Amino acid sequence: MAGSVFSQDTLSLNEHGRLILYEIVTADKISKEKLYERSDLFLHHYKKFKVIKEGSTDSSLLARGKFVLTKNSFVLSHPSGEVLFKLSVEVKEGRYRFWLTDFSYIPYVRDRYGNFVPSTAKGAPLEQRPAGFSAANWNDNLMGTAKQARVLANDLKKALEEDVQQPAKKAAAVTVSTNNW
Amino acid sequence: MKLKPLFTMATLSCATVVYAQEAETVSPLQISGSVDTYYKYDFAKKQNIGTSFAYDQNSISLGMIDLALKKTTGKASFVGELSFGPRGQYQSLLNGDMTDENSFHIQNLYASYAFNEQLSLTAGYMGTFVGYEIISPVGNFNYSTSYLFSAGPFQNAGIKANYNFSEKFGLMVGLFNDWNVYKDLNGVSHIGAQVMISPVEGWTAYLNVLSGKSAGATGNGTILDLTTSYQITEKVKVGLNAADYSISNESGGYSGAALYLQNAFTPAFALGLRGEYFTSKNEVNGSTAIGVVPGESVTALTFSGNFKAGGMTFIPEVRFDNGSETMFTKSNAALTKSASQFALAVVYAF
Repeated sequence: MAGSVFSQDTLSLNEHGRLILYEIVTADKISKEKLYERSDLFLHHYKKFKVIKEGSTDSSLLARGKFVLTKNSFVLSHPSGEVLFKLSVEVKEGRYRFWLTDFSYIPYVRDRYGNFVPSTAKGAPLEQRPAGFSAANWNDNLMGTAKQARVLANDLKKALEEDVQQPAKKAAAVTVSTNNW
Repeated sequence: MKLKPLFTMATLSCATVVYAQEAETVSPLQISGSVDTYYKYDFAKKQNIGTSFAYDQNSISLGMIDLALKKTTGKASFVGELSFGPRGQYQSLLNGDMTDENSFHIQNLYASYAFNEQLSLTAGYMGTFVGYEIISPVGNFNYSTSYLFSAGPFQNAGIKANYNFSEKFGLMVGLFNDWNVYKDLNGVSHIGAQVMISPVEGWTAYLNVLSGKSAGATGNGTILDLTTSYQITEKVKVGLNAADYSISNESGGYSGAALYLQNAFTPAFALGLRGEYFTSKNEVNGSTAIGVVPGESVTALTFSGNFKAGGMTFIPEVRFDNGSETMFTKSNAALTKSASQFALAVVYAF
Protein backbone atom coordinates (compact mmCIF):
# COMPACT_ATOMS: atom_id res chain seq x y z
CA MET A 1 0.00 0.00 0.00
CA ALA A 2 1.33 3.42 -0.86
CA GLY A 3 2.69 5.30 2.06
CA SER A 4 1.32 8.66 3.02
CA VAL A 5 2.48 11.45 5.22
CA PHE A 6 -0.33 13.56 6.56
CA SER A 7 -0.59 16.32 9.09
CA GLN A 8 -3.15 14.94 11.56
CA ASP A 9 -6.40 13.07 11.62
CA THR A 10 -8.23 16.34 12.15
CA LEU A 11 -7.86 19.64 10.40
CA SER A 12 -4.62 21.48 10.98
CA LEU A 13 -3.52 25.05 10.42
CA ASN A 14 -1.21 26.01 7.57
CA GLU A 15 1.45 28.70 7.62
CA HIS A 16 -1.22 31.33 6.92
CA GLY A 17 -3.40 30.30 9.81
CA ARG A 18 -5.97 28.63 7.54
CA LEU A 19 -7.50 25.27 8.32
CA ILE A 20 -6.14 22.58 6.06
CA LEU A 21 -6.20 18.84 5.48
CA TYR A 22 -2.86 18.09 3.80
CA GLU A 23 -1.35 14.80 2.64
CA ILE A 24 1.72 13.75 0.69
CA VAL A 25 1.38 10.26 -0.74
CA THR A 26 4.11 8.05 -2.16
CA ALA A 27 2.77 6.06 -5.12
CA ASP A 28 5.60 3.87 -6.32
CA LYS A 29 5.49 2.65 -9.90
CA ILE A 30 2.72 5.04 -10.87
CA SER A 31 3.82 7.60 -13.40
CA LYS A 32 3.10 11.27 -13.20
CA GLU A 33 0.94 11.02 -16.31
CA LYS A 34 -1.13 8.20 -14.83
CA LEU A 35 -1.59 10.07 -11.55
CA TYR A 36 -2.70 13.18 -13.42
CA GLU A 37 -5.11 11.22 -15.59
CA ARG A 38 -6.68 9.54 -12.56
CA SER A 39 -6.94 12.86 -10.71
CA ASP A 40 -8.70 14.45 -13.67
CA LEU A 41 -11.06 11.49 -13.99
CA PHE A 42 -11.82 11.65 -10.28
CA LEU A 43 -12.77 15.32 -10.42
CA HIS A 44 -15.03 14.68 -13.40
CA HIS A 45 -16.88 11.68 -12.00
CA TYR A 46 -16.89 12.17 -8.24
CA LYS A 47 -20.48 12.89 -7.21
CA LYS A 48 -20.13 13.43 -3.51
CA PHE A 49 -19.70 16.87 -2.01
CA LYS A 50 -20.55 18.73 -5.26
CA VAL A 51 -16.92 18.66 -6.34
CA ILE A 52 -16.39 20.75 -9.48
CA LYS A 53 -13.09 21.14 -11.31
CA GLU A 54 -12.05 24.76 -11.65
CA GLY A 55 -8.65 24.74 -13.28
CA SER A 56 -5.53 22.79 -14.09
CA THR A 57 -1.91 22.96 -15.19
CA ASP A 58 0.27 20.12 -16.50
CA SER A 59 0.92 18.89 -12.96
CA SER A 60 -1.88 20.24 -10.80
CA LEU A 61 -5.65 20.45 -10.61
CA LEU A 62 -7.92 22.73 -8.64
CA ALA A 63 -11.53 22.08 -7.66
CA ARG A 64 -14.16 23.37 -5.29
CA GLY A 65 -16.89 21.62 -3.37
CA LYS A 66 -19.08 21.73 -0.32
CA PHE A 67 -19.86 19.62 2.72
CA VAL A 68 -23.39 19.72 4.12
CA LEU A 69 -23.43 19.60 7.91
CA THR A 70 -26.31 17.92 9.68
CA LYS A 71 -27.60 18.73 13.11
CA ASN A 72 -28.52 15.61 15.02
CA SER A 73 -30.07 15.91 18.45
CA PHE A 74 -32.27 13.12 19.81
CA VAL A 75 -35.07 12.84 17.24
CA LEU A 76 -34.14 16.05 15.46
CA SER A 77 -32.16 15.79 12.27
CA HIS A 78 -31.84 18.39 9.58
CA PRO A 79 -29.16 20.21 7.59
CA SER A 80 -27.61 22.96 9.69
CA GLY A 81 -25.18 24.52 7.25
CA GLU A 82 -22.61 23.98 4.56
CA VAL A 83 -18.86 24.32 4.36
CA LEU A 84 -17.35 25.40 1.06
CA PHE A 85 -13.79 24.32 0.30
CA LYS A 86 -11.04 24.27 -2.29
CA LEU A 87 -9.30 21.05 -3.28
CA SER A 88 -5.83 21.10 -4.86
CA VAL A 89 -3.95 18.11 -6.27
CA GLU A 90 -0.32 18.13 -7.44
CA VAL A 91 1.40 15.15 -9.05
CA LYS A 92 5.01 14.12 -9.61
CA GLU A 93 6.64 10.92 -10.75
CA GLY A 94 5.77 8.29 -8.16
CA ARG A 95 4.18 10.67 -5.67
CA TYR A 96 1.44 13.20 -5.27
CA ARG A 97 0.02 15.57 -2.72
CA PHE A 98 -3.36 17.15 -2.13
CA TRP A 99 -4.94 19.55 0.29
CA LEU A 100 -8.34 20.89 1.22
CA THR A 101 -8.43 24.44 2.49
CA ASP A 102 -10.24 27.78 2.25
CA PHE A 103 -13.09 26.38 4.34
CA SER A 104 -15.95 28.83 4.74
CA TYR A 105 -19.14 28.19 6.66
CA ILE A 106 -22.66 29.21 5.69
CA PRO A 107 -25.44 28.49 8.20
CA TYR A 108 -28.78 27.25 6.93
CA VAL A 109 -32.19 28.70 7.72
CA ARG A 110 -35.63 27.30 7.05
CA ASP A 111 -37.36 29.08 4.18
CA ARG A 112 -41.05 29.78 3.62
CA TYR A 113 -41.57 26.28 2.18
CA GLY A 114 -40.01 24.45 5.14
CA ASN A 115 -36.75 23.71 3.32
CA PHE A 116 -33.29 24.45 4.66
CA VAL A 117 -31.37 26.87 2.48
CA PRO A 118 -28.20 28.96 2.89
CA SER A 119 -28.95 32.02 5.02
CA THR A 120 -26.31 34.07 3.22
CA ALA A 121 -24.33 33.95 0.03
CA LYS A 122 -20.97 34.72 1.62
CA GLY A 123 -19.53 32.27 4.06
CA ALA A 124 -17.45 33.11 7.09
CA PRO A 125 -13.99 31.53 7.38
CA LEU A 126 -14.33 28.36 9.39
CA GLU A 127 -11.31 29.47 11.42
CA GLN A 128 -13.42 32.19 13.06
CA ARG A 129 -14.39 30.91 16.45
CA PRO A 130 -17.55 32.63 17.73
CA ALA A 131 -17.70 33.65 21.35
CA GLY A 132 -20.14 32.48 23.97
CA PHE A 133 -22.92 30.04 23.36
CA SER A 134 -22.20 29.57 19.66
CA ALA A 135 -18.78 28.08 20.37
CA ALA A 136 -20.26 24.59 20.82
CA ASN A 137 -21.82 24.78 17.35
CA TRP A 138 -18.45 25.83 15.96
CA ASN A 139 -16.77 22.77 17.45
CA ASP A 140 -19.47 20.55 15.92
CA ASN A 141 -18.93 22.24 12.56
CA LEU A 142 -15.18 21.62 12.75
CA MET A 143 -15.67 17.98 13.59
CA GLY A 144 -18.26 17.49 10.87
CA THR A 145 -16.00 19.16 8.32
CA ALA A 146 -12.96 17.12 9.32
CA LYS A 147 -14.95 13.90 9.09
CA GLN A 148 -16.22 14.60 5.59
CA ALA A 149 -12.84 15.92 4.47
CA ARG A 150 -11.32 12.61 5.55
CA VAL A 151 -13.93 10.72 3.48
CA LEU A 152 -13.06 12.79 0.41
CA ALA A 153 -9.34 12.29 1.03
CA ASN A 154 -9.72 8.52 1.26
CA ASP A 155 -11.83 8.41 -1.90
CA LEU A 156 -9.25 10.50 -3.75
CA LYS A 157 -6.36 8.29 -2.65
CA LYS A 158 -8.20 5.16 -3.67
CA ALA A 159 -8.96 6.64 -7.08
CA LEU A 160 -5.33 7.65 -7.68
CA GLU A 161 -3.86 4.37 -6.62
CA GLU A 162 -6.12 2.00 -8.49
CA ASP A 163 -7.01 1.54 -12.12
CA VAL A 164 -10.38 2.89 -13.10
CA GLN A 165 -12.68 0.56 -14.97
CA GLN A 166 -16.05 1.41 -16.38
CA PRO A 167 -18.87 -0.64 -14.86
CA ALA A 168 -19.18 -3.94 -16.74
CA LYS A 169 -22.39 -4.34 -18.62
CA LYS A 170 -24.61 -6.94 -17.12
CA ALA A 171 -24.81 -9.98 -19.36
CA ALA A 172 -28.24 -10.86 -20.60
CA ALA A 173 -29.94 -13.55 -18.58
CA VAL A 174 -29.79 -16.97 -20.19
CA THR A 175 -33.22 -18.34 -20.85
CA VAL A 176 -33.60 -21.89 -19.69
CA SER A 177 -35.95 -24.11 -21.63
CA THR A 178 -37.67 -26.81 -19.67
CA ASN A 179 -39.23 -28.43 -22.72
CA ASN A 180 -36.32 -30.37 -24.15
CA TRP A 181 -34.15 -32.37 -21.90
CA MET B 1 -24.05 -32.39 -16.65
CA LYS B 2 -22.51 -29.09 -16.69
CA LEU B 3 -24.81 -26.38 -15.74
CA LYS B 4 -24.20 -23.19 -17.47
CA PRO B 5 -24.16 -20.30 -15.10
CA LEU B 6 -27.36 -18.29 -15.33
CA PHE B 7 -25.43 -15.07 -15.31
CA THR B 8 -21.90 -14.31 -16.40
CA MET B 9 -19.92 -11.27 -15.43
CA ALA B 10 -16.51 -9.98 -16.42
CA THR B 11 -14.02 -10.51 -13.60
CA LEU B 12 -12.75 -7.30 -12.13
CA SER B 13 -9.16 -7.18 -11.06
CA CYS B 14 -8.65 -6.60 -7.39
CA ALA B 15 -6.81 -3.35 -8.15
CA THR B 16 -9.63 -1.46 -9.85
CA VAL B 17 -12.15 1.18 -8.80
CA VAL B 18 -15.48 1.70 -10.46
CA TYR B 19 -17.36 4.98 -10.51
CA ALA B 20 -20.81 3.62 -9.70
CA GLN B 21 -24.07 5.29 -10.59
CA GLU B 22 -25.27 7.63 -7.85
CA ALA B 23 -27.47 5.66 -5.44
CA GLU B 24 -31.04 6.77 -4.80
CA THR B 25 -31.05 9.42 -2.10
CA VAL B 26 -33.03 8.53 1.00
CA SER B 27 -32.81 11.18 3.63
CA PRO B 28 -33.80 10.57 7.24
CA LEU B 29 -36.98 12.25 8.39
CA GLN B 30 -36.05 15.87 9.07
CA ILE B 31 -37.67 17.41 12.10
CA SER B 32 -37.24 21.10 12.78
CA GLY B 33 -39.16 24.02 14.15
CA SER B 34 -39.25 27.11 16.28
CA VAL B 35 -40.91 28.76 19.23
CA ASP B 36 -41.32 32.48 19.85
CA THR B 37 -42.69 34.80 22.47
CA TYR B 38 -42.76 38.59 22.79
CA TYR B 39 -43.59 41.69 24.77
CA LYS B 40 -44.88 44.78 22.96
CA TYR B 41 -45.59 48.26 24.35
CA ASP B 42 -47.28 50.95 22.26
CA PHE B 43 -46.50 54.42 23.66
CA ALA B 44 -50.16 55.37 23.27
CA LYS B 45 -50.93 52.58 25.73
CA LYS B 46 -53.15 50.83 23.24
CA GLN B 47 -52.86 48.68 20.14
CA ASN B 48 -52.23 51.03 17.21
CA ILE B 49 -50.03 49.62 14.48
CA GLY B 50 -52.10 47.06 12.62
CA THR B 51 -49.49 44.88 10.95
CA SER B 52 -49.36 41.15 11.63
CA PHE B 53 -48.24 39.44 14.84
CA ALA B 54 -46.73 41.29 17.84
CA TYR B 55 -50.31 42.38 18.41
CA ASP B 56 -50.94 42.33 22.15
CA GLN B 57 -50.35 45.55 24.07
CA ASN B 58 -48.32 45.49 27.31
CA SER B 59 -48.47 41.73 27.61
CA ILE B 60 -45.93 38.94 27.57
CA SER B 61 -47.57 37.04 24.78
CA LEU B 62 -47.27 33.95 22.68
CA GLY B 63 -46.10 33.74 19.11
CA MET B 64 -46.29 30.12 18.07
CA ILE B 65 -44.69 26.72 18.26
CA ASP B 66 -43.91 25.54 14.77
CA LEU B 67 -43.02 21.96 13.77
CA ALA B 68 -41.87 20.94 10.31
CA LEU B 69 -41.36 17.47 8.89
CA LYS B 70 -39.56 16.73 5.65
CA LYS B 71 -38.46 13.54 3.95
CA THR B 72 -36.86 12.82 0.60
CA THR B 73 -36.81 9.44 -1.11
CA GLY B 74 -35.13 9.51 -4.46
CA LYS B 75 -36.85 12.15 -6.54
CA ALA B 76 -39.91 12.52 -4.32
CA SER B 77 -40.23 14.53 -1.15
CA PHE B 78 -42.86 15.94 1.16
CA VAL B 79 -43.06 18.74 3.69
CA GLY B 80 -45.61 19.00 6.47
CA GLU B 81 -45.53 21.99 8.79
CA LEU B 82 -47.86 22.50 11.74
CA SER B 83 -48.15 25.54 13.97
CA PHE B 84 -49.89 26.21 17.28
CA GLY B 85 -50.41 29.53 19.01
CA PRO B 86 -51.78 32.91 17.97
CA ARG B 87 -49.16 33.54 15.28
CA GLY B 88 -49.58 30.05 13.88
CA GLN B 89 -53.36 29.90 14.05
CA TYR B 90 -55.87 32.72 13.79
CA GLN B 91 -53.25 35.39 13.03
CA SER B 92 -52.00 33.56 9.94
CA LEU B 93 -54.45 30.78 9.14
CA LEU B 94 -58.19 30.67 8.64
CA ASN B 95 -60.29 28.20 10.54
CA GLY B 96 -60.97 24.85 8.89
CA ASP B 97 -63.00 25.04 5.74
CA MET B 98 -64.98 27.94 7.17
CA THR B 99 -67.84 25.71 8.24
CA ASP B 100 -66.62 25.13 11.77
CA GLU B 101 -64.23 26.60 14.29
CA ASN B 102 -61.52 23.99 13.87
CA SER B 103 -58.15 25.05 12.61
CA PHE B 104 -56.04 22.65 10.59
CA HIS B 105 -52.90 24.35 11.97
CA ILE B 106 -51.14 23.74 8.66
CA GLN B 107 -48.53 26.18 7.31
CA ASN B 108 -47.16 23.89 4.60
CA LEU B 109 -48.44 20.55 3.35
CA TYR B 110 -47.15 19.53 -0.06
CA ALA B 111 -45.39 16.88 -2.08
CA SER B 112 -42.74 17.47 -4.68
CA TYR B 113 -41.20 15.43 -7.48
CA ALA B 114 -37.87 16.33 -9.09
CA PHE B 115 -37.80 14.93 -12.61
CA ASN B 116 -34.17 15.99 -12.90
CA GLU B 117 -31.89 18.71 -11.57
CA GLN B 118 -33.75 21.33 -13.58
CA LEU B 119 -37.45 20.44 -13.43
CA SER B 120 -39.64 19.77 -10.42
CA LEU B 121 -43.37 19.69 -9.77
CA THR B 122 -44.94 20.62 -6.43
CA ALA B 123 -48.54 20.39 -5.29
CA GLY B 124 -50.30 21.19 -2.06
CA TYR B 125 -50.69 23.98 0.45
CA MET B 126 -47.61 26.17 0.57
CA GLY B 127 -46.22 29.35 1.97
CA THR B 128 -46.69 32.11 -0.58
CA PHE B 129 -43.96 32.79 -3.13
CA VAL B 130 -44.85 36.49 -3.04
CA GLY B 131 -43.11 39.01 -0.81
CA TYR B 132 -39.98 39.44 1.29
CA GLU B 133 -41.17 38.56 4.81
CA ILE B 134 -42.68 35.27 5.92
CA ILE B 135 -44.87 33.91 8.70
CA SER B 136 -42.12 32.07 10.57
CA PRO B 137 -40.17 34.47 12.81
CA VAL B 138 -37.01 32.52 12.00
CA GLY B 139 -37.00 33.86 8.45
CA ASN B 140 -37.40 37.56 9.29
CA PHE B 141 -34.86 39.97 10.74
CA ASN B 142 -37.52 42.24 12.26
CA TYR B 143 -40.10 40.83 14.64
CA SER B 144 -43.00 43.10 13.66
CA THR B 145 -44.01 42.80 10.03
CA SER B 146 -44.34 45.24 7.18
CA TYR B 147 -47.61 46.56 5.74
CA LEU B 148 -46.75 44.84 2.46
CA PHE B 149 -46.50 41.50 4.23
CA SER B 150 -49.75 41.95 6.12
CA ALA B 151 -51.68 43.09 3.05
CA GLY B 152 -50.37 40.35 0.76
CA PRO B 153 -50.99 36.63 0.56
CA PHE B 154 -49.76 34.31 3.32
CA GLN B 155 -50.35 30.96 1.66
CA ASN B 156 -51.01 29.84 -1.89
CA ALA B 157 -52.39 26.33 -2.29
CA GLY B 158 -51.84 25.06 -5.78
CA ILE B 159 -49.68 23.17 -8.21
CA LYS B 160 -46.52 24.63 -9.65
CA ALA B 161 -43.61 23.70 -11.86
CA ASN B 162 -40.09 24.99 -11.25
CA TYR B 163 -37.40 24.99 -13.90
CA ASN B 164 -33.80 25.91 -13.07
CA PHE B 165 -32.12 26.98 -16.28
CA SER B 166 -28.92 27.61 -14.33
CA GLU B 167 -27.77 28.82 -10.93
CA LYS B 168 -28.47 32.33 -12.21
CA PHE B 169 -31.92 31.92 -13.76
CA GLY B 170 -35.04 30.01 -12.86
CA LEU B 171 -38.74 30.06 -13.67
CA MET B 172 -41.88 28.98 -11.84
CA VAL B 173 -45.43 28.82 -13.16
CA GLY B 174 -48.48 27.48 -11.41
CA LEU B 175 -52.19 27.41 -10.77
CA PHE B 176 -53.38 28.44 -7.33
CA ASN B 177 -56.41 28.70 -5.08
CA ASP B 178 -57.52 32.02 -3.68
CA TRP B 179 -55.19 33.61 -1.14
CA ASN B 180 -54.99 32.09 2.33
CA VAL B 181 -57.71 29.46 2.02
CA TYR B 182 -57.61 25.69 2.35
CA LYS B 183 -60.40 25.27 -0.18
CA ASP B 184 -61.23 27.39 -3.20
CA LEU B 185 -64.93 28.20 -3.35
CA ASN B 186 -64.95 29.46 -6.94
CA GLY B 187 -62.59 26.91 -8.49
CA VAL B 188 -58.85 27.09 -9.02
CA SER B 189 -58.88 30.67 -10.12
CA HIS B 190 -55.39 32.14 -9.88
CA ILE B 191 -52.37 31.88 -12.10
CA GLY B 192 -48.94 32.74 -10.79
CA ALA B 193 -45.38 32.94 -12.01
CA GLN B 194 -41.96 33.75 -10.67
CA VAL B 195 -38.69 34.60 -12.40
CA MET B 196 -35.52 34.20 -10.36
CA ILE B 197 -32.32 35.89 -11.45
CA SER B 198 -28.96 35.98 -9.74
CA PRO B 199 -26.76 38.33 -11.77
CA VAL B 200 -23.76 38.17 -9.45
CA GLU B 201 -22.80 36.10 -6.43
CA GLY B 202 -24.76 37.22 -3.40
CA TRP B 203 -27.51 39.02 -5.31
CA THR B 204 -30.82 37.29 -5.97
CA ALA B 205 -34.01 38.86 -7.30
CA TYR B 206 -37.49 37.41 -7.68
CA LEU B 207 -40.13 38.92 -9.95
CA ASN B 208 -43.54 37.59 -8.93
CA VAL B 209 -47.02 37.84 -10.36
CA LEU B 210 -50.26 36.37 -9.04
CA SER B 211 -53.57 37.10 -10.71
CA GLY B 212 -57.13 35.84 -10.42
CA LYS B 213 -60.60 36.45 -9.09
CA SER B 214 -61.22 35.39 -5.52
CA ALA B 215 -64.59 34.12 -4.36
CA GLY B 216 -66.82 37.08 -3.51
CA ALA B 217 -64.41 39.64 -4.95
CA THR B 218 -65.74 42.52 -7.04
CA GLY B 219 -63.01 42.21 -9.62
CA ASN B 220 -59.91 40.41 -10.81
CA GLY B 221 -56.91 41.03 -8.56
CA THR B 222 -53.32 41.12 -9.78
CA ILE B 223 -50.25 41.50 -7.59
CA LEU B 224 -46.86 42.36 -9.06
CA ASP B 225 -44.01 41.93 -6.64
CA LEU B 226 -40.25 42.42 -6.63
CA THR B 227 -38.27 40.77 -3.85
CA THR B 228 -34.51 41.08 -3.90
CA SER B 229 -31.56 40.92 -1.54
CA TYR B 230 -27.85 41.52 -1.98
CA GLN B 231 -25.21 40.28 0.44
CA ILE B 232 -22.74 43.05 -0.28
CA THR B 233 -20.09 41.83 2.12
CA GLU B 234 -19.94 39.11 4.70
CA LYS B 235 -21.47 41.60 7.15
CA VAL B 236 -23.69 43.91 5.11
CA LYS B 237 -26.94 42.92 3.44
CA VAL B 238 -29.47 45.04 1.56
CA GLY B 239 -33.00 43.94 0.73
CA LEU B 240 -35.86 45.48 -1.21
CA ASN B 241 -39.52 44.57 -1.55
CA ALA B 242 -41.81 46.49 -3.88
CA ALA B 243 -45.36 45.49 -4.75
CA ASP B 244 -48.46 46.70 -6.50
CA TYR B 245 -51.88 45.11 -6.08
CA SER B 246 -54.81 46.18 -8.19
CA ILE B 247 -58.37 44.92 -8.36
CA SER B 248 -60.39 45.58 -11.48
CA ASN B 249 -63.71 47.45 -11.52
CA GLU B 250 -62.11 50.28 -9.53
CA SER B 251 -61.97 48.05 -6.51
CA GLY B 252 -58.75 49.49 -5.19
CA GLY B 253 -55.67 47.71 -4.01
CA TYR B 254 -52.40 48.91 -2.59
CA SER B 255 -48.79 49.54 -3.44
CA GLY B 256 -45.59 50.09 -1.52
CA ALA B 257 -41.92 49.50 -1.08
CA ALA B 258 -39.74 48.47 1.83
CA LEU B 259 -35.97 48.75 2.11
CA TYR B 260 -33.99 46.54 4.47
CA LEU B 261 -30.46 47.36 5.67
CA GLN B 262 -28.61 44.94 7.93
CA ASN B 263 -25.12 44.85 9.36
CA ALA B 264 -23.74 41.86 11.22
CA PHE B 265 -21.12 43.36 13.54
CA THR B 266 -20.25 39.90 14.82
CA PRO B 267 -21.72 36.43 14.16
CA ALA B 268 -23.74 36.97 17.36
CA PHE B 269 -24.92 40.56 16.91
CA ALA B 270 -26.53 42.43 14.05
CA LEU B 271 -28.55 45.61 13.61
CA GLY B 272 -31.18 46.22 10.98
CA LEU B 273 -33.30 49.06 9.71
CA ARG B 274 -36.50 48.68 7.71
CA GLY B 275 -38.00 51.70 5.98
CA GLU B 276 -41.37 51.29 4.32
CA TYR B 277 -43.86 53.35 2.35
CA PHE B 278 -47.35 51.90 1.87
CA THR B 279 -50.41 53.37 0.21
CA SER B 280 -53.99 52.23 -0.29
CA LYS B 281 -55.32 53.01 -3.76
CA ASN B 282 -57.93 55.72 -3.96
CA GLU B 283 -60.68 54.09 -6.00
CA VAL B 284 -64.44 54.15 -5.84
CA ASN B 285 -64.83 50.57 -4.68
CA GLY B 286 -61.57 50.42 -2.78
CA SER B 287 -61.37 49.11 0.76
CA THR B 288 -59.13 49.76 3.73
CA ALA B 289 -55.90 47.81 3.75
CA ILE B 290 -54.25 47.17 7.13
CA GLY B 291 -55.85 50.24 8.65
CA VAL B 292 -54.91 52.49 5.71
CA VAL B 293 -58.04 53.85 4.02
CA PRO B 294 -58.16 54.41 0.23
CA GLY B 295 -56.14 57.43 -0.78
CA GLU B 296 -54.00 57.47 2.36
CA SER B 297 -50.48 56.30 2.96
CA VAL B 298 -48.15 55.46 5.81
CA THR B 299 -44.40 55.37 6.31
CA ALA B 300 -42.80 53.12 8.89
CA LEU B 301 -39.28 52.98 10.31
CA THR B 302 -38.28 49.92 12.30
CA PHE B 303 -34.98 49.43 14.12
CA SER B 304 -34.23 45.89 15.23
CA GLY B 305 -31.32 44.12 16.88
CA ASN B 306 -30.52 40.42 16.59
CA PHE B 307 -28.56 38.89 19.45
CA LYS B 308 -27.82 35.24 18.69
CA ALA B 309 -26.81 32.52 21.12
CA GLY B 310 -26.87 29.06 19.62
CA GLY B 311 -30.40 28.54 18.27
CA MET B 312 -31.87 31.50 20.14
CA THR B 313 -32.28 35.03 18.80
CA PHE B 314 -33.24 37.93 21.08
CA ILE B 315 -34.84 40.79 19.14
CA PRO B 316 -35.23 44.22 20.71
CA GLU B 317 -37.12 46.52 18.39
CA VAL B 318 -38.49 50.05 18.17
CA ARG B 319 -40.85 51.26 15.47
CA PHE B 320 -42.24 54.61 14.30
CA ASP B 321 -45.22 54.84 11.92
CA ASN B 322 -46.47 58.06 10.39
CA GLY B 323 -49.64 58.33 8.32
CA SER B 324 -50.64 60.88 5.69
CA GLU B 325 -53.82 61.42 7.69
CA THR B 326 -54.90 60.64 11.24
CA MET B 327 -55.05 56.88 11.38
CA PHE B 328 -53.85 56.14 14.90
CA THR B 329 -55.09 57.07 18.35
CA LYS B 330 -53.44 58.61 21.36
CA SER B 331 -53.82 57.44 24.93
CA ASN B 332 -56.67 59.93 25.37
CA ALA B 333 -58.44 58.48 22.31
CA ALA B 334 -57.70 61.53 20.16
CA LEU B 335 -56.84 60.76 16.58
CA THR B 336 -53.25 61.26 15.50
CA LYS B 337 -51.03 60.71 12.49
CA SER B 338 -48.24 58.87 14.27
CA ALA B 339 -47.71 55.79 16.39
CA SER B 340 -44.68 54.24 18.02
CA GLN B 341 -43.95 51.04 19.87
CA PHE B 342 -41.14 48.95 21.19
CA ALA B 343 -41.00 45.17 21.40
CA LEU B 344 -38.79 42.49 22.89
CA ALA B 345 -39.00 39.09 21.27
CA VAL B 346 -37.28 35.75 21.75
CA VAL B 347 -37.18 33.26 18.91
CA TYR B 348 -35.68 29.80 19.25
CA ALA B 349 -35.08 27.68 16.15
CA PHE B 350 -34.30 23.97 16.42
